[in-house]
Amino acid sequence: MKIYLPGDLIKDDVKANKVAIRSENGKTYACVVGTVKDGFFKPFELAYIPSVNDKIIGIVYEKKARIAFVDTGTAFNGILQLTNEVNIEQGSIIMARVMKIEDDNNLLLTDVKTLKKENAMLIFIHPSKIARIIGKEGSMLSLIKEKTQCQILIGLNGYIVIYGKNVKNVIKAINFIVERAHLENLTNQVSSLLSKGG
Amino acid sequence: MAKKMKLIINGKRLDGRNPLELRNISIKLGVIKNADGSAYIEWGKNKIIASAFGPKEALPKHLADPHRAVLRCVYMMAPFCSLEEHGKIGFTRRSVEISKLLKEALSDIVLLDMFPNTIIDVYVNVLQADGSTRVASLTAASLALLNAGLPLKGLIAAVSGGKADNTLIIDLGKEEDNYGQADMPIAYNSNGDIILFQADGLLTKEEIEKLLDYTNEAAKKIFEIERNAIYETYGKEMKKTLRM
Repeated sequence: MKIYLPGDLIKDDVKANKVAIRSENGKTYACVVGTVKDGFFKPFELAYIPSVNDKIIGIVYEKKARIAFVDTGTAFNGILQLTNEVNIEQGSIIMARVMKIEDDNNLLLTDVKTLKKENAMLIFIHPSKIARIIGKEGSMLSLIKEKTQCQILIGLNGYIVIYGKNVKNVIKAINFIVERAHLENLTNQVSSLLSKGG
Repeated sequence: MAKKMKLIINGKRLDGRNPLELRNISIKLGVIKNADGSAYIEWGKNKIIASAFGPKEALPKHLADPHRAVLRCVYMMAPFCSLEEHGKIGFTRRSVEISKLLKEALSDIVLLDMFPNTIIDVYVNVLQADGSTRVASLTAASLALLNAGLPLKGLIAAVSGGKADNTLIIDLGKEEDNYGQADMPIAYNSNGDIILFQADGLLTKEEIEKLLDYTNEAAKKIFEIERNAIYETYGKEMKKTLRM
């Protein structure tokens, strides 16, 4: 596996997240540490930049008459317009879709769903590791759900909400993936880990 | 007035190095669990830790720049890091100066315009000092930013040049820094451009030109050491865990 460092020339034609690579004089350079796989530049570490339609999880930190402000754990705060259908309070955990990204870094959110706080575990991981938790076409996430019988909701901003009795095993699996997110063949290793751990 | 001290004896420096020899450098990434990125460097007897946080929300709001991220750097020496620092707590004029030059040098490599209205914080703490801490700090800080996943144009390799007993040397140790004739910290980016240049003492034009060549060669070795440390880090599991 070839590891690219910031400033390294990428000779192949690759697709990537907009901040992971840059073009200069017709050449492509890596901006973060990563590798190229299947025509994509896959960063090992990457700061989070939201995109429209991203599904994120956040915590409501302030509620006013018609508007609420959401902490997403990143540099981008969420703004929610309150309607009669949306029932939230300060401290509510919500899942929402990014409708628009404002110039001042606020995210206008829509399709809001309030998540239950009872028996829920809320954790935060670096957003660049979320893709490995989900896996190719959701394979890793499905594996963890199946092995632990837990419900797992993932926000692309790094928040994860877990419901179920085997929360400890879910966290063990997530921790395992986070430590090895830059390595390959994780699905089989996670499957063994969860089979052993019970 | 600084006392006279023999720094080069029979062509060797006090620690046994040749004039153009670097001290041993070892680097570890991802050493602080709660930082977005971190790096620990042992450079000779220097022990320095750097951490990076961000991009994060610009608070208070008036700090925000609508065109780019604001980069803030803090360089601090631990009170126990050396005999001279013993008992000193908080900012000194020297740490304010080095914080400023770290910020200016790092601004050259970070693609700040990708994150308008945000802040990126870099903290560097010197745990043990043995000369040339600013260049070691700058090298560690660039690696902390890489570990944080912040987009960079490249890395930084910084090294000091100088003169002791009329001999041009690189990578000054503490005694050479304190009792030598000149000290010239210099930093290069991946393109070989100079992004930090300071000089203290008396050097001729020819000596400066030679030192530029010597430090350029040393920087290439430092880039190689950084590269190997990064390959080693990302070739195996890292101790970066989740926050609950």
